[in-house]
Amino acid sequence: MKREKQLELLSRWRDGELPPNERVRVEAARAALGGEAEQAWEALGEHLRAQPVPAPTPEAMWNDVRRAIRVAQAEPAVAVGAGGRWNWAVAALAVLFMVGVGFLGVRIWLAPSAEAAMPRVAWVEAELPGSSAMVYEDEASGAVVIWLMTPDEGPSGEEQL
Amino acid sequence: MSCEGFQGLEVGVGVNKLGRESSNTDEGIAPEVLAQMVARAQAGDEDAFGELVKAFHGRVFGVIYRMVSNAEDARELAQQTWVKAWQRLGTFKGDAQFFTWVYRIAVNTALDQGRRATRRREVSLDEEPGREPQAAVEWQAPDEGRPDRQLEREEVRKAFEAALDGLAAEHRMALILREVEGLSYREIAQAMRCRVGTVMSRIFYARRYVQDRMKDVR
Amino acid sequence: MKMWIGIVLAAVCVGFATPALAQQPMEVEAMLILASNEPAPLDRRLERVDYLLRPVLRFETYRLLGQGSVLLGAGGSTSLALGDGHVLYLRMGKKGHVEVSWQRGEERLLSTSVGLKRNKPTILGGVPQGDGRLIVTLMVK
Repeated sequence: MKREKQLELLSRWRDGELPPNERVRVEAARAALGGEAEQAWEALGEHLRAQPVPAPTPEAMWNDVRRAIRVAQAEPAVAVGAGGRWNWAVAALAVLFMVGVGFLGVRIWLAPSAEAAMPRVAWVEAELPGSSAMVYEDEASGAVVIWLMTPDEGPSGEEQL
Repeated sequence: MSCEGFQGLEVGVGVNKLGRESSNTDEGIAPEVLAQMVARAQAGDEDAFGELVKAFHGRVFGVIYRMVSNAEDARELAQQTWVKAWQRLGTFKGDAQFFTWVYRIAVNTALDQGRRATRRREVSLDEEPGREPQAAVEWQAPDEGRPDRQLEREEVRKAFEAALDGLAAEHRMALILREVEGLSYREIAQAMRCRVGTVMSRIFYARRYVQDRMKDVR
Repeated sequence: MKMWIGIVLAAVCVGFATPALAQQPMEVEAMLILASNEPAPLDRRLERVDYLLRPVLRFETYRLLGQGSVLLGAGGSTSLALGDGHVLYLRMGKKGHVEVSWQRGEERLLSTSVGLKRNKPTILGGVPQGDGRLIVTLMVK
């Protein structure tokens, strides 16, 4: 197991987020990691927890919040009550927007649907002599990986993906 | 990274090395009392909402402050959080704990600010090379009688702050929610609206990053 | 009545103009990265992509060798020098795909046609260099 992978598991173990079978593996490998990372992470946690928080009193905060709520409640009332002409302008803009969106929708609907159906990678050419390429799409991040497999690498290169 | 939806992940019953229980609780208020307060607030009772603000203010402020490291900004953001909560009270269905619901609003308000602050910081650091980030609050080391120790600790503290300042808002938030609030990965994922796997990698990256920045300090 | 006719006409214009806006030039950012298993400190400049790369590629360390960004308009083509003689040639292809050709000096390494999407990075890689592999990440800003 590579060191970085072990550290990643150690991080999850520290947080109590490992299933039992992996927990045993990590606990067995802990000594080999030297404790440096664990000490550093512990110190980081301590630093974060020790940071003093200069919170205002609850009453002061509630006063702030109550004032802000009043202001927020007053704002839309002014806008809406500004008169008939304003309301007409808003309505006209809304209709304009909706009709525009409608036309856009129709255009997209009428457009060839091939774009949506087209795969993310249309084609790949591995141009180094003797090389080939493989494509991998990672669902979690949405990343697409186009990986060049060179002759010296052999099939073991796939381990990197 | 895309952070949409919430992916469940089977998580084993691990050892919580921090020895803290998940702190996703409603501040010790009896559930029926809390439910009444929330119902009254939802019906427009400002005083009931005020009681909720006062009860949960400390933790909401704490998580925001640790994100922005500035008392004034934190106060402003905490205020925004509670105003949003008031405006959205109608959407709270009671299927989650009230605190979890407010927490999510606080986390996202702080994250939005954090992203803007990161961009601002990038600009100002470019303009002022060599500038050291300043912590908003000074605090006394316990062994005040030893100036050398105090100096040393101060140096370490500043180095930690500088390292944390270098993290992206999402990494820093995930770390704070784990280390300070003691939330599980699943709870963090819910608060940050992302996948459990994303939380895992953010926390790991943040730890490795800070570890790397700190290795020459001590 | 006249006002409503005006609104509908304006909406027609908006509707037909919007697809043109959708084909506005996109800014593509590329990074040339050396991935290896040699121990090295984290490269802070890669913070935005490091956490994307780690779950997908299993290398220990990533080091930024060069980067750049370029605007790519509809039907346009451009090139982007990334340092160490590495150049990307980009051409807007059909149906939103971008044709990418990665060259090192005169040597062509990899060509592809790929749909570049915001928040969904494209990673080209595998070119051997020393004990590591070269990677190019493409992101739409």
